[in-house]
Amino acid sequence: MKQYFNKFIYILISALFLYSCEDVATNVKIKQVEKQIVVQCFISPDDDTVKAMLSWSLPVIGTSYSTKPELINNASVIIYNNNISDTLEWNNNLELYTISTSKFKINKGETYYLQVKLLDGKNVFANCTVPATQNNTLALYKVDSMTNSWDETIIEYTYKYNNHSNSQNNYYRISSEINVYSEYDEYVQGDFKSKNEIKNDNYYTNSLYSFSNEPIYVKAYIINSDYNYFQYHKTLQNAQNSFGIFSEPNIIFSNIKGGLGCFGAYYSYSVENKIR
Amino acid sequence: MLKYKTFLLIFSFLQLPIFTIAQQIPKYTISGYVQEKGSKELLPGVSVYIPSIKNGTVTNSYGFYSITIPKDTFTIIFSYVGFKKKLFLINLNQDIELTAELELFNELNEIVITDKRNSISDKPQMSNIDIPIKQLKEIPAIMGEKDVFKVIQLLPGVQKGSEGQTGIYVRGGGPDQNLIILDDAPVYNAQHLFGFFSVFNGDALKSVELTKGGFPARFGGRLSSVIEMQMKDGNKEKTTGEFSIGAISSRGVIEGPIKKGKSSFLISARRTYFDILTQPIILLASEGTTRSGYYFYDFNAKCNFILTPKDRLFISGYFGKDNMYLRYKEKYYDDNKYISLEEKFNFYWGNRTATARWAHQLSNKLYLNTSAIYSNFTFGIDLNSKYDNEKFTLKYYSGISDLSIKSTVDIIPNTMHSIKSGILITRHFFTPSAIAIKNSELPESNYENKKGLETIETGIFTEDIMKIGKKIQLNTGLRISSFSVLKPSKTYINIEPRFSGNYIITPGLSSKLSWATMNQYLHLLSNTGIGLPTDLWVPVTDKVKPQRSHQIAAGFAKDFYDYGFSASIEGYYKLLENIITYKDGASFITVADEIDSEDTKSIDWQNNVTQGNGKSYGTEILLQKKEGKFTGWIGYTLSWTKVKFNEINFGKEFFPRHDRRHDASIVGIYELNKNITISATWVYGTGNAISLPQSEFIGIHHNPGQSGISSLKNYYINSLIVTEYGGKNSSRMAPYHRADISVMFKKQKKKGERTIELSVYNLYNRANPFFYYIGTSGYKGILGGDWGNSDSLRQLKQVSIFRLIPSLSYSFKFKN
Repeated sequence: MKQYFNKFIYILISALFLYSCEDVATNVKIKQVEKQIVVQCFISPDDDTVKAMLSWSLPVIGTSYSTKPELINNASVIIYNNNISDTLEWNNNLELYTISTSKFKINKGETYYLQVKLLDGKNVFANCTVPATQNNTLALYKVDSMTNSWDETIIEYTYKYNNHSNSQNNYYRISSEINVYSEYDEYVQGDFKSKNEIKNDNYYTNSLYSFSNEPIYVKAYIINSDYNYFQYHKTLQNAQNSFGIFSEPNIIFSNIKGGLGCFGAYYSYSVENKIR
Repeated sequence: MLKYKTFLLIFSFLQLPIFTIAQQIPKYTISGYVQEKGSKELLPGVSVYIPSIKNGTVTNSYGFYSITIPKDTFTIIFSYVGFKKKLFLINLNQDIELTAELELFNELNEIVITDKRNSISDKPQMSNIDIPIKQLKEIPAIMGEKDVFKVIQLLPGVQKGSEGQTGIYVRGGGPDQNLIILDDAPVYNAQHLFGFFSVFNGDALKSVELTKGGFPARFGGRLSSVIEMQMKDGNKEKTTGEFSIGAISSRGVIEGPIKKGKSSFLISARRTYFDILTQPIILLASEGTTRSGYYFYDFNAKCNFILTPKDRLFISGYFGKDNMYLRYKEKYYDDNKYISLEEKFNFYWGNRTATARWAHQLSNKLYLNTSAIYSNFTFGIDLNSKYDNEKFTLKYYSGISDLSIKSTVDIIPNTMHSIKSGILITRHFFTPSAIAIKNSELPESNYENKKGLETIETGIFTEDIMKIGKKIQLNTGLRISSFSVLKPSKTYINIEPRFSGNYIITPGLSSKLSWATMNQYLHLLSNTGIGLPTDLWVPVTDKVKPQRSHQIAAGFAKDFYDYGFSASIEGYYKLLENIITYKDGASFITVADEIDSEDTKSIDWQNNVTQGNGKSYGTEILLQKKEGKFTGWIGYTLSWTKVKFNEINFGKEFFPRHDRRHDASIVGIYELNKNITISATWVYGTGNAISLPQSEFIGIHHNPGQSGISSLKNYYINSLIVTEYGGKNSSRMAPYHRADISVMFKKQKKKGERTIELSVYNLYNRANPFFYYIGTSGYKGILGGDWGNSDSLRQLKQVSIFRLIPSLSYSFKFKN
């Protein structure tokens, strides 16, 4: 009897402390959204093609995890600046809307507009300005490597900010492409810094682990971007890295009026080194 | 006399004109202490009133009063809520020292006379509520654990955090913006069990006072509120005590004289025993290898000594700790020998405070208090493991330690002025992160890093409660605060003007106005806002500026003397500057990582935080009845809080999580007869502002070296499904409401009084949201362990804790 009594007491106490329950939330003020047009397009004077990806967003509530967001391939996509206008055509091979920059030139310092219209009349709009050429810019001057006690090859990039300018609001991304023949090929998303966060001397390091003795090529990039490109990539990176039930969710940047996604601009510098 | 004049010169530089008034009629001073009959506990806030001149004063925080009036014969009345009024006939022809003893109302049938001097309309202070300890003990509480913070949450202008949490959000401010003081010592993390209980044991408390605005100059260092608590001094006449057994903890208090009438002590303690009860189950389930559990305890002690008629010494301390522990021990046979494996893990946090206060009556108009104060908060993780002969230890901790000296002087030159001036110097020592690793097998990997930050905070203040004619009372004051960071050197100095006043429109009805500027030099870095011990206290630096608030409040206060209740309505507008939060994606882990880096310059939690501004405005209504068989209050708040950070939500203004449009509470306590007391509460609050997922889409990274956007076909690896929330905190949780009820049965026994309390938390079993997540229709839930089918439709699921919880507690108050 005593044994049963003890069991009862323990169950009772445990039940009190695990006294939580779950149910479908019904009385929450959550905006019920319809699917929205998502535009992702990054333009650069360095590129040979302007590419735009169009897709639908997928409402979270009422859909399943296995449902994949759909691409949009029947839209009218127009890019223009103050002088000329042209249309991006659907490329079935890439599943993107594209136009060659030999046909529609992207220039530094200019503002561009992107308009997307669907057959049913839905449309979204965005604009961005390509950063102007600057005499004062970041320069990457060294790519180096070392091996640590765990046999990892540490790649270190050193970059320097020259002629600090207060006149422009600049945004930077320090990225790299690492290639170890047959073993490794990846893009490092990189570090995002606004002008105020850039110091005169900056060090950025990344490590990779390589078993072979094959050559390692590192191509390091400094991307000078507009605010849209910078914020969008920064929030995407935060979203990729975040986890935890109590952590604040990452809000993804968008400059697409009437929709989601990003229309941003950039140009880049690069330095390539063979480090082994 | 020389001493008296010296203090006047030092401390009352703003009030000099008041001493130049010519004195034609001889004036004398009545001064002394007011204390509880029997225990001789000093009583703060007691009204001392002389009807013939329609003037009076109140006792200060230490039970001292002084009143200077012309020579006369008159009646002086001492009155205090819950105590019988005491009258003395005085023939004042010389200075008199008079100590009054007030007796508690014990019998229900005794007539309780509401005294006008206890009214709220007569006080210049606004946005200030004192919580009677008796009510605190009678209001129903979850699992019978009486909690001062949960009662404060029931007051208008105070928002609660999540379900069951003790976090306090006053007029749009965060939980870090509350100055929580226990016997002059600040308490940095006032939470047990991850915020479900506060660290204050109601058995040891004498008074609790909340100030939300119109802050007197004596308070500084936080933006939004002051919660000032005093511990009981201890009974000087006889030894008494109380112990109680509740659902999750037991507690006891004992107090009594050290030397009868001259000195006394009080000791109180509380400990949870959930770990002890669950230990056999854990041992059984782990086949004797594991012991684990969680407990918290706290311990309060106080001694006080009457050294001479003019000197008193108080020594008090608090020590509390939360500990989660795991012990694992196993022995197994391998490789022809027995190998033992042992692991010990502790996750702990706790506060320690100590105060030594010397009260010295310099004259019948001057009262000096000098305190030495220590406060410490530590959060730590200890890991010890032993595998055969290999030993590994890891110790991590963070914390803050304060050492302070505080000196205040109360100057009461006449009935028109009551001045308080003083100085507080604090040396803060921050340890944002310290780590030590020892490995017997790999001594080269042993590592120790303890970096601290030392700062000095100073506050010099003076305030004067003055009466202008019969209609106007003002509390004007000035505080000069400074904060010096030693490395890299940086000093902030700020002037904080304070003002509050009332204008008596008709007897019992007054209008009030207040203004306060506050500066806060300490920041709490919190990811969650739910008061986890991992939240870090950090100081201002050359980069991170002090937080500042400006608050204006106005309102009306009305006393309904015939019915024994009071009503107030207040409107406020508060601006918050340089408030601090983590940048998106940063947490205490990233901060700790950076602190551990070798380069001192890169100890940069500063790079992980962002500062912004906020504003809060609203209206609060309080209808309160403090005396009689039926007591309680009705409170309602209508408010808006908005914040803006350049680096959060892309610089757009948003509602913080604790923004709550409507907040209402009803508290009722009814003494049915001398043996039975019934109490009930009902609370309602608009749901918190949160970010809930609305839609998803494929986000594509641009790859450096590639032309624009990647095709999904070729570079799917650079894409991810991202969630869109429609902006920061754009959704609202379901409204929160709940009713609690409690019945206390008291019985007088030979050796004391026995109380059995039966209470029900969440009487109508409301499922209030604790958090939400996205689940699917086939998903059995976080506790269910079934991850569902990926083809099932997604739903927003709500997790609720603390549904209907009945509890029973027993306490016995013994008398010697």
